[in-house]
Amino acid sequence: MTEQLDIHPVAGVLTSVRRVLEQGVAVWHQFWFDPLDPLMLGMMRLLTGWMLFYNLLVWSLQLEAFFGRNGLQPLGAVKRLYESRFVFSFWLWVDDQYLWPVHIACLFVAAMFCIGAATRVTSILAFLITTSYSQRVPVANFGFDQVLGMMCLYLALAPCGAAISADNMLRRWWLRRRSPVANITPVPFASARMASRLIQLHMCAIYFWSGFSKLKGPTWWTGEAMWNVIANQEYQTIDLTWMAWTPWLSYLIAHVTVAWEAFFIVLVWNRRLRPFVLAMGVAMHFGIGAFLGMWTFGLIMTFAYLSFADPEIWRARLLTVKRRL
Amino acid sequence: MIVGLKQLCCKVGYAVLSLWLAFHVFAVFISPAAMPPASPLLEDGYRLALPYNEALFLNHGYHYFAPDPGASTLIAWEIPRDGDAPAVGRFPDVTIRPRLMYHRYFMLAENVWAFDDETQQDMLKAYARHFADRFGSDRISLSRISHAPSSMMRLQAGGKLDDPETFEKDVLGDFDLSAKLEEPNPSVAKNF
Repeated sequence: MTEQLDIHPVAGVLTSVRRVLEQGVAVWHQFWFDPLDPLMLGMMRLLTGWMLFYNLLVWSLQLEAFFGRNGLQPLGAVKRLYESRFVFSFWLWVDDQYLWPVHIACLFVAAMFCIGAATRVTSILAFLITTSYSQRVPVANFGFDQVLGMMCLYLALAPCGAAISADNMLRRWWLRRRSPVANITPVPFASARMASRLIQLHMCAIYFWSGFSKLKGPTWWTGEAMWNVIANQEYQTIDLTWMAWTPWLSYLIAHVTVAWEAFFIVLVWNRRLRPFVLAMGVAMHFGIGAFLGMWTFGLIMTFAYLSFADPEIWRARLLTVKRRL
Repeated sequence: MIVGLKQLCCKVGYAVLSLWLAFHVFAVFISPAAMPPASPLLEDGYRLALPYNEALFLNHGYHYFAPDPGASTLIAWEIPRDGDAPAVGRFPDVTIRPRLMYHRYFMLAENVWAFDDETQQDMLKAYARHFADRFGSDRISLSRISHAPSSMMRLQAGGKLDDPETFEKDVLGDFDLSAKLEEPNPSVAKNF
């Protein structure tokens, strides 16, 4: 009797622990690997690929000036900077005479990636291209390069060629050719869920740190920070200096920006709040594009928002549009 | 036997993938945490993830317009010309198009100060050479210009964003570029 009393509580605790662990594993599995329609990843690939292609196209204008051995970012100085560091860039091994052939090959790969051709290969190459260009010119980088690199990394891990792609069109055509009644409904992938989650969490990290780092500065508390951005002539593309006569507006924008960035990591997971949180982000990034001239950065950030969208809803919307056309 | 081995491989693969995901999320979040001020614990965590973050180009701070947006930096250049007024210019220059290229030049002026002294010197010399080459000159002087945003009060009193008082010039020095440039390494070209 005494023995039974001793044993039962221990067994009960073990059973509870086991149940909690099993539930934890199930939640983990559902969060990371619950199969997902790759539609949104296909859209993100198309838009990210377009942005990568545009980035490379702009580099074409001053390729030798930035990537040449003795250009604005001298090869020797960059190599010395990366000594005993784990930094990869194929540009560190490309001599001046091969600049253009390599660059044209990269443009071709970026275009292939954008349209979703041979995506399994071109997505990995797109990531290597993005990081190689960025790491070769470390002083010329800004937020756009960071987010472009992030998007290409996760798209390389995802079945981003399984929707809205040349690969998918080819697959459907092949299946129809073999059997007119072949089932060509989209297949959900566990890896699509994983890549989408990685993009979502990375966006949370970006906004979390962007918001919290602003809290280190007094001007974000006094509200002057937003005015200092507006009155920065080197960023300005549209004159907003009329706000000098409505100071409360720039103070309000400063406070809302910090609050929104710092709490994005919490609010975006709430299904009801998500549309509002993302709409505010779109407004903020389009504002950055229109008023500070950083359209590339603003757009690539909003492209990542598609990872929060429900592919089933968007597939139904696309089908409706297709039927009307 | 084979089925059992396959199941074991699947379980091990799943565990490895799960561990990688946990580490990856940790690495992404810890990278900006070490931006000063930071505790030794955060710095240790940052160092732990550093090689991984560097390899995947994830080693970023995400401190956009933080902690305090302030003055922007420009670099001015002046090239002496015999019997003529010196050629002058500065970057970033709003005539640079498209805007993405303008931002690249803007970052050249803004970011170079975040690097070590030797890299700074190498980069400034490269900037000097880039602009001197346009005029076929061996001599050029560079200055660092700090452009502070005008306050609301200044604007209300009739001031402008480009008032001369908002600019502060710091001469970086004269550059003599007559030394020979680094030659391409023939072995690299041959082995490509």
